Amino acid sequence: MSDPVPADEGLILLSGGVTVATAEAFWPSTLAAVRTCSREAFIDMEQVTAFDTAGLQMLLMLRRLAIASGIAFGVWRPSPVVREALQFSGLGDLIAPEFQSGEPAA
Amino acid sequence: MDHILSTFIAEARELLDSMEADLLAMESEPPSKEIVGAVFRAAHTIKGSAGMFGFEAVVSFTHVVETLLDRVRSGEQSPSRPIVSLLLDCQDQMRSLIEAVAAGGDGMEASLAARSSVLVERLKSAMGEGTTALVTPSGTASVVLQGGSPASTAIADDQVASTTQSATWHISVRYRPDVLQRGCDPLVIARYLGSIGEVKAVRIVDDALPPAREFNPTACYLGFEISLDSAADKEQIEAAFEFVRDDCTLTILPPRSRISDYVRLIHDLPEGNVKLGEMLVQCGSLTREELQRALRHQAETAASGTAPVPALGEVLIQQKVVQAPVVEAALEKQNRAKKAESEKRSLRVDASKLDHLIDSIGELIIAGAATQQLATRARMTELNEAASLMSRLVEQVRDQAMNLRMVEIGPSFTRFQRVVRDLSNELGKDIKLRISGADTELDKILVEQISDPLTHLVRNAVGHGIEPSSVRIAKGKDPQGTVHLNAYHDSGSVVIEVSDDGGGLSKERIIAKALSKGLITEGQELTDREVYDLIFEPGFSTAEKVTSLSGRGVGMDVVRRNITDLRGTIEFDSIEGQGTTMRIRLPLTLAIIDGFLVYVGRSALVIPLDVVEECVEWEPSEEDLKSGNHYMDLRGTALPFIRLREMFCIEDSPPARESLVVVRCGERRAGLMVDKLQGEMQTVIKPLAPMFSHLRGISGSTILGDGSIALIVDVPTLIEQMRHQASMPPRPRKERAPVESALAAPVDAGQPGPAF
Repeated sequence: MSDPVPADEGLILLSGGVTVATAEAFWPSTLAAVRTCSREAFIDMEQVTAFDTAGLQMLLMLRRLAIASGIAFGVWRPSPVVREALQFSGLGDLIAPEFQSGEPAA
Repeated sequence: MDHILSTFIAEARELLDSMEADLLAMESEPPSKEIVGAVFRAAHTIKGSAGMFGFEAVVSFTHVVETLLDRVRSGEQSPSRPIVSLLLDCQDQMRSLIEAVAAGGDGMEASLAARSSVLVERLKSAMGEGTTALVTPSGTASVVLQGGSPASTAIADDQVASTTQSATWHISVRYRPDVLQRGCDPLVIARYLGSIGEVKAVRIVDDALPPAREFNPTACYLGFEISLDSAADKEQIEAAFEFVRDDCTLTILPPRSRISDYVRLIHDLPEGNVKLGEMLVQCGSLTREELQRALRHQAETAASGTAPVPALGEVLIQQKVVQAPVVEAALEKQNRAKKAESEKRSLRVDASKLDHLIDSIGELIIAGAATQQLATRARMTELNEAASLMSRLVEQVRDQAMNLRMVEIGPSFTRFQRVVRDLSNELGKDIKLRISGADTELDKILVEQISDPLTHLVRNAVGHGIEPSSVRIAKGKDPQGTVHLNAYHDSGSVVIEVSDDGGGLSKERIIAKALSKGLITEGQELTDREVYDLIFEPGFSTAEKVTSLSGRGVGMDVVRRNITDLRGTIEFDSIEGQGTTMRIRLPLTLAIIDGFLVYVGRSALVIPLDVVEECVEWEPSEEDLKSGNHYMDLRGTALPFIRLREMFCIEDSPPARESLVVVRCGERRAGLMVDKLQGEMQTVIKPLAPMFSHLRGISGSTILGDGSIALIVDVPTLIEQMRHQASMPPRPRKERAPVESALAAPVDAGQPGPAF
């Protein structure tokens, strides 16, 4: 796992394992990163290699905060493991519209 | 011969009762082979026995009914609602025929014969259609029984059938917060379910997520709702959660089709006194793990002593582990087994023989009391001890004899299933009857005599209490209304409740009606109870529309009089918009009671012991005597009291120190001021001669050991009278019971004691 990297304005990059084992370490910085976003907050998860219930509820928590702050929220470029978990749990709508089909946007 | 005939009639009535209950059950859910078989056997037995006595009208009619039942039993005819309804009509006709026989006829009377012919035509017509339209589909699985227990073979086959059939289960899981830290991932478990079926949908429930500052990223806040298409059974599905079973709350809801499977499997279980939990495990609706948890919960509640221990069925329904229809089916099965077991060990005895026994015991008690007095006077220790021993034994024999008269109220309650069904059909309402406390016992004579008032109350609840479905829907209520019959024992009394979840009583409407009828005056302040009590005034009605079925809203005064005649009371509780409860309180028995003997002057009076709370000595102060108040300060509480000397016009003057007997009736307490407390005694109730029956405050008399007579105080009436006197002008003294003159007139010696 690496610390979230603001790849671009409103885009936060996560990589490695996003699981209960790493949650305590990256939650504060991810939360802080989302709070710095003013119009939109997207989580780039292309490089995420492991994802579990802890990761899932973290995304739900972030979405709740984003909605409360009136900014857009979504998952960008979900890796296969993230995509499968979100779709299996009925949370496919967390994936940003341009990545929902499974084909990366140009 | 007469004896054999009366046995036939008694048995036929019982068979018709169970036939009716089974037919009503068939109407509400698809019947099991067992129920259809029981109905068939009942008709078959009645026909066979009637044949032995040559009652041709019963035989020929029942034969046609039996033919239709045989078709239903073989699957040739579907037990559709109209068919069951027709069978209920036939059951009524069989009852009429049996009653005609009981009355000395033969069932050939013109009106009965005409009705039989009409029903036979309807039966034939139903069978004619049935054979062409309702043949069992050829694809239906049939069970071929080869050796072994037929029932168990049927279960095995059914289980095979149900396990090969895929259907959607619903699984609801809520995890403990530390489940993730324990290395368990709920997502993995949900995915694992895919190995025993197809996970159709997962819904994440995130309402437990806390505010961001309280969020612990390693705690689990998510719940999972999973739809699983699977042919697996509940036990197999539960096994997927084996490693987190103690870290989650798991609810596994079976597919709808499974619920009816469970009910069917329970019906098909072999007869025997099987425990409820075991039955549910055997049919597959409950896992062993779930049963253990429910039993633990029950044991913990019992150990805590904070709440009444809930029945296992209630726990299972409350924990949503098993669905109510499945638990009800298992309870019904259990009750049948219990009933069959008790029938095997019961002995049918003519009720009049029991009455004679109780009368003799009553005389024995009086003779025993006389012996005891003589022994005390003789001052012979050995004689005294022997008399005391005999007195204890007589008391035991009395209790056992009284117990023989005690019957469960259940069969009386069950009768109302039909009343509610017919009445709600007629009024176009959707109403179910719920019964609890069916095993509560009370004197047989009370069960018989309470039947009419109870019918009136149930009809009132259906007719006036419960709203039509459309109104209920508009109010956001369940479209189906419920009438609840409940019975329980409470401090020496039996309480019977008739509740409904209807519109409740409107106090404004009652008051308006009472004003218009001149029962109360404008501006009169009344408590809720006093308002409800107005309903018992003669001619009072709250119904806007009079129907032939629900009575005329009147007759409540008659209901109360009937209940008062049984030494009982009735009261209403109601919440407008939510429903009404009518509560009848009756003594356990009418024949012999434990009494408390007191004296006022030379007059002996008996107060039923079960209403006595305590006795207090009282020396009135000057102020008390001057004020003439009928209230005293009992440890800081104002207690109203009544002087029995004044009440019964006893002329001689009171002693310096009087005694107060504190009595309670329902929620009301009061004191009865007497001269002397004598002590407890067994009291054989003798009715008063008819010329004294109008006296208020006296419910009967008894004979003391020395042959003198004591009057039995009617405490509920006295308390009621005190309450009235507090709010209304005092009654003229002439209406009060003159005790001395009543004592001077002998009790009707020809009467055999209890008023059976």
